[in-house]
Amino acid sequence: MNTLIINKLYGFFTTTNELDDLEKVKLQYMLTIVVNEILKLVAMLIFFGSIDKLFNFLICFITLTLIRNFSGGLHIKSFFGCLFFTCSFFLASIYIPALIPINYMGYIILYIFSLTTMALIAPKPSKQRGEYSSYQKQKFKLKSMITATFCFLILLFKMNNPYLINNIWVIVFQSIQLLLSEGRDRYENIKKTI
Amino acid sequence: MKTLKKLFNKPSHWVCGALISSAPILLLDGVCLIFWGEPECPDCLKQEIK
Repeated sequence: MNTLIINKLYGFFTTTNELDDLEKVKLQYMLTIVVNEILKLVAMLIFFGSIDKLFNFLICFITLTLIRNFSGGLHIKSFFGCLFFTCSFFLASIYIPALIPINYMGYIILYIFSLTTMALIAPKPSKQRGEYSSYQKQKFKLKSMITATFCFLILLFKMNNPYLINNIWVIVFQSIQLLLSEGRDRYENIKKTI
Repeated sequence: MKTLKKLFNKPSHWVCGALISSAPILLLDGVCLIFWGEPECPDCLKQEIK
């Protein structure tokens, strides 16, 4: 269905605008991204709205947008695989805090864990994109660390706010996911050398 | 039908222009998208990252 929408929009834009080959390639790429992300977002809005967790989802979504843009991580090739993984990620961020109550010290430990992971591993760019320079990577690393620190600092002022707690778990799970991504890359490198 | 087409022409130019011009910005301002899936980046845009 998403391919049909992308092709229809691409056909519409290429007939109503005079585009050269380079612009057509960029348009195709951007339409694929925009349509896929919007469809996933709409599906998740409907899903989380139906289980009465819409506001929690929106808070987690905003945090993830900030942190994942700078830290990167795993990528799933198929549309439905990506949708399933994303839903699972948000469900974990919303429901696990209720199962694992954590005190002040626990949040300090989670902060140190997240910050260390971001400092050592972030960013993990998408392999589909190509190589970023070391200066750009340092810039993204710093931004991801600042975002994580900011979220944890806000929590210090409002420890009992459940939405801020969801926020923190998004960052923690993003850090875990960075570790998984690093582990997968190292395993692939070992396989290549063997 | 012709007036309907003319009505969509200008917004189509704006949207198309915005999409094309935001492609390099999207790649340079972040290392990946929000969710866990991304299409293969075309070579011309990979050159812009370099």
